[in-house]
Amino acid sequence: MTTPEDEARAALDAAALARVLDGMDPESGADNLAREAHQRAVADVALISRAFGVLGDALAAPLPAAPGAEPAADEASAEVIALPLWRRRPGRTMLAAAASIAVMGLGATVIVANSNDDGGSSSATAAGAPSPNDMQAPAAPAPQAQYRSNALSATGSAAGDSSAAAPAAAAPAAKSAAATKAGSAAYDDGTGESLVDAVACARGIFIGQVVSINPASGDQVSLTFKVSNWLTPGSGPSRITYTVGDSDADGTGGKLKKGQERLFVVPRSTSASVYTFLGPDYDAAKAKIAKAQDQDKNVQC
Amino acid sequence: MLGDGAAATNASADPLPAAGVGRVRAVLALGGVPAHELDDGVQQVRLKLLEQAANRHKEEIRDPVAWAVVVASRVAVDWHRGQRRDDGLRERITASWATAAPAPSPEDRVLALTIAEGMAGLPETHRQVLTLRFYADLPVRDIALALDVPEGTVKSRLHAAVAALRERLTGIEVS
Repeated sequence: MTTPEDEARAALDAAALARVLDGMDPESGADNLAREAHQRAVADVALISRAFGVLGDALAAPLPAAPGAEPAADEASAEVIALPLWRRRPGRTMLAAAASIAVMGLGATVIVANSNDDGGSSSATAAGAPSPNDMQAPAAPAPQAQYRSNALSATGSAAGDSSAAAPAAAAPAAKSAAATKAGSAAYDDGTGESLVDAVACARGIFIGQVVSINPASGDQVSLTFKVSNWLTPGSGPSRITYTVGDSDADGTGGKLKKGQERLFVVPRSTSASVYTFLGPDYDAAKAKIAKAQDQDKNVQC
Repeated sequence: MLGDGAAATNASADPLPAAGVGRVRAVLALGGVPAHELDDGVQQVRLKLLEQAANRHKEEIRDPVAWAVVVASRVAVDWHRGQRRDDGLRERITASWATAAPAPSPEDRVLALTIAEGMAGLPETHRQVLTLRFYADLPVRDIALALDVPEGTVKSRLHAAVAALRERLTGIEVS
């Protein structure tokens, strides 16, 4: 039975969703109910974004040949390196009604987690005004999953440009002397996780640029990257945020700076550092990762 | 002038950058194109890219991957005009997870399957804008330009589609 309160809430939710999809903030002077509705809408849109990321990962990969099925697709050289899929580590926000659902293929009732913060489509939207014939790289609202890793740091210079230019048009970050180390691992904080382990269970391997660095809880920072080339998985959002350890907090060394462009390997372990490789030629780095992949057969993630 | 990712200028090269093949496949599949038609769909996108590159009167493509994704979404909609929608999206996703290790977390599986189910009940044009918005990450304005429809049309489709998907999320507890 629908009550007037339910109807009022539904109307608020619908209005809030429309604002979120249009990239608008809550109305100035909005009451608490309206603000809560806006937060629910932001969270739901973030969930949908995340779902599309997962779906895309699954569907981008060719299916193995199965009885009665067509052969796997021509993936050509779509993936430079075949590595494990990324993992999403959701934040903690309660959303929607308290219930759970059983899903085919899982054989269990599970609870779905959600990212709570700035997951709205507007917050992550970046530049790009592609016309049918003049398309910039996909802009922004990445699945707002938060990733955890231990200290992330790197050597190298900062470009200092955090603009949201499309990856295809983005100028490489200034590299100065660091460029001479092209292809070499720029930093490993020595937390014990080898590159092989990191690669085997990587949540993400990509070439990208640090767009923003913001404090997170405790000794963590929230790093947002503009990804120009996904290696693992083969495709993904053009912008993604990871929550990682603040390298300053544990004295592990240098720190990434906004605008830096690297090849990043984000390990699964929260106690491991993120590996970074300097460009602009990443062939050596890719070869190193491929070699690590060859050695990771027995790694349990 | 083609962008950095456009090695396609080389006549002997694949007009669709390798990094874009997966994205095109995903967009086609999200649009409901069945698995056995995906290769044909990818080929159609390649042909469109070649046509575009050969047409000197058209503007050149700065980002072939983003362009290809939009073309793929159109191919998916066109595919539905003459054929029945593929309803096996859920099964395909589950099969993919069964063979790709490690699979996404159980939480993400639930979420993705919930959304996939919701997608199955939507009109093709709604699926198209959802895919371009949330998978290709294109802003509404760009989707409108790419599809040559008014922004208001994209918004209304997007709002309706998201509202429908949101209904599916009700009942999922997040922690």
